[in-house]
Amino acid sequence: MNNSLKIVTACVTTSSQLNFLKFGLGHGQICRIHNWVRPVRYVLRRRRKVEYEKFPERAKPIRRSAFNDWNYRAELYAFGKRLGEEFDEPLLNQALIDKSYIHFEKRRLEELGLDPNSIQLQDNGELAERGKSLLEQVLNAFMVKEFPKLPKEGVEAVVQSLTSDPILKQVSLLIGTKDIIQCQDYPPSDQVYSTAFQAIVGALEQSSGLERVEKFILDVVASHLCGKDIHDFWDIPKPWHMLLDLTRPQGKTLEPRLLREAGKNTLLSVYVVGIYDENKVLMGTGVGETIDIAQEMGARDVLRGMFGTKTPLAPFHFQTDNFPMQLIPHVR
Amino acid sequence: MSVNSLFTKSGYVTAPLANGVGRYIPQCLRMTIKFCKSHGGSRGVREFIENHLVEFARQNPGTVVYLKPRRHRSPVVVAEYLNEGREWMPLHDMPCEEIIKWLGVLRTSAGYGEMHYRSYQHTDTPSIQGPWTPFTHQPPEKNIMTFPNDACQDPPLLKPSATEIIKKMYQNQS
Repeated sequence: MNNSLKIVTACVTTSSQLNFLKFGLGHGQICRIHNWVRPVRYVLRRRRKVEYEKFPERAKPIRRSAFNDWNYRAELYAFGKRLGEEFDEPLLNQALIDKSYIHFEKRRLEELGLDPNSIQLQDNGELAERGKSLLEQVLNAFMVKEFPKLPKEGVEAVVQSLTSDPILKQVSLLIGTKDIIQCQDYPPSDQVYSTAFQAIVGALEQSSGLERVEKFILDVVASHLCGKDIHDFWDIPKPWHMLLDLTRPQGKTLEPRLLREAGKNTLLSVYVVGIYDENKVLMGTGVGETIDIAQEMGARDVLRGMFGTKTPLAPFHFQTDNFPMQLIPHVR
Repeated sequence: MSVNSLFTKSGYVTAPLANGVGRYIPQCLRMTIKFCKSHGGSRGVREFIENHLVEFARQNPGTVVYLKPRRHRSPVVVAEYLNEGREWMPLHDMPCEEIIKWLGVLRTSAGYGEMHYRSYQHTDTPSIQGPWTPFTHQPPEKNIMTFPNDACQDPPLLKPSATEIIKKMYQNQS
């Protein structure tokens, strides 16, 4: 390690490319990786870093559509086929045109001395609006169906975080919109990704109808909930107060009791608190490093039982009719 | 500088976007096959293009296939994936059958590239029973014990040693 570092430093200072080969590092290899690989990559990476600091514009990735092997219509066709959906091509095209692209094109035409109003393009704003309301409706219905006991604010919180920009960006990227979104900046910003995805949902509704849209949203967006805890999306800040508010109308009186304790007055103290109702039935338990925390955790446990969000959850019901894909290569 | 990215990446088995839970989305976005129209090294690729390419594209409508002829250069396939991954693979002197198989591998990959798996299984929720506490799996009779208690002084599941067993056998004998 030290040896190679010294040699690499020497290499950088003299800026001769493969000097270290002369110093006896050339023949050995460890785990089938030659000893020269690391120092070479070290040097290349360092040079790249220096260059990018000097010329920041070179660090930007080149737009994929600027390459020779690019056919936009073929990409649009494949996009629909990949998702297993039938899109109306002009609608899909419109769904992928961002507002910034139209401004950009108009400015370009102006610079060329042409009439900027000659381009007849429509951005994806309207489609995105429709798509957003569709997303919210479908996810709401899904949450109500899967968690019938969850209160309204919980459902809203989950739907809101599922339709937030970071998550929709991830979805949008992973269904392959990165290169086909038409916008000014490349790679697109989170907001552009998410708007494009909403617009795709809107375009799908107009192309294939509501039923397909519902399946699409469940498969692509709602599947984000798999293996996750609902309370990661909806945090309850004061569980004990909430529990009291919920049980008061039923005339229940709750009683927290200390079940076990260990390591009192030490750094590693543990308390277990159980929450009992008036019939001395244990409703839930919580563990914490102080009695207060344990009581709050116990209240959380009771609330989970009341809302039907206890972990582990039973798996959700998703459609699987699009699944049969040929995974074994077979061309003949 | 960290050394992590210099060699093979390491990570866990993942499926992007919970792929396959709702529907299966093939991850290969596009493939570019670069070849020479006259050189011998591209013979297998040319045969593949003549006989199998159209069928390949028809069977995989989600993957855009580009052909890029270039004079007297070695044939290569570049596959791009939904997770922004990119795989480059030389096809020099490869027979058609082998090309079909390798394209099948690229088509069904997820684009994470060569990866050293830190473990062969992975889960986001390692414990479904909740966090461990000192009271997990404790015998219930400890609830009503008073401490310090002589019965709890010995280590749990203490077995008699070989000497003790032999001594006991000797006593039983006499």
